[in-house]
Amino acid sequence: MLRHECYSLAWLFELAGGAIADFEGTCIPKVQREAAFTIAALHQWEMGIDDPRCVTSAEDVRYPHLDVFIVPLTMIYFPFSPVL
Amino acid sequence: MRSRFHRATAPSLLRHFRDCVKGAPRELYANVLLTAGPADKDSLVVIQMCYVGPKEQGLEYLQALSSWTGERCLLNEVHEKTFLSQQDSVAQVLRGKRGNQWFIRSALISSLPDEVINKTVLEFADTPVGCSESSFSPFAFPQKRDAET
Repeated sequence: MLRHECYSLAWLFELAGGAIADFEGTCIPKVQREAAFTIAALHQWEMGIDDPRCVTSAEDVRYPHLDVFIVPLTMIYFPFSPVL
Repeated sequence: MRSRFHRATAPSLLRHFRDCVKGAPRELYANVLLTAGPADKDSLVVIQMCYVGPKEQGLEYLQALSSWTGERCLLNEVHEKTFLSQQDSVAQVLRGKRGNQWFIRSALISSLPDEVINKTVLEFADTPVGCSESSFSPFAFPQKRDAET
């Protein structure tokens, strides 16, 4: 049996901020929109590959010491490449 | 801007990035990526920036980011460019392909402490580069991201 795995992990540190903190009454709390940085794990794999590690390896990464910071976790799943 | 990833020097570059951009005016957008890079090449640290304002002011941030000397800068293509050419560059360094599925896990943080940088660099360094094909063994011949020196 030939098993295929194809997953790639990249990490992103992104400067947050800008005008998104200027507004009141939006669906995302202001305290979150005032965050200084976004840190993200990006996974990609080929269509048709059913390997749960494509998702769980991102889930396995935890920053328990970050509980003191603002940590709203977001999950975005793209069935197709969005812009790449 | 691209530099070869090395676990020993990457934390220093990320700290430098953080110190250059924190508190910057909203005209500045910047990010840094730890990524596998183009196929058959070493893993990379990639810094992307965009300054929506006078070119002279943007150059100050570019010069500050470029002043890190821990590794050689492999490529500096910060200049005016089209949206599509920028997206092509991102696709190359992320090994993006049409039809791939994506999963992104992210967190907003109020600061970027050294501890988080160090942990993330080690996490990235110890993750095998994707795309392996094997018989039975799920972890056969993973490609290491850098030398363990």
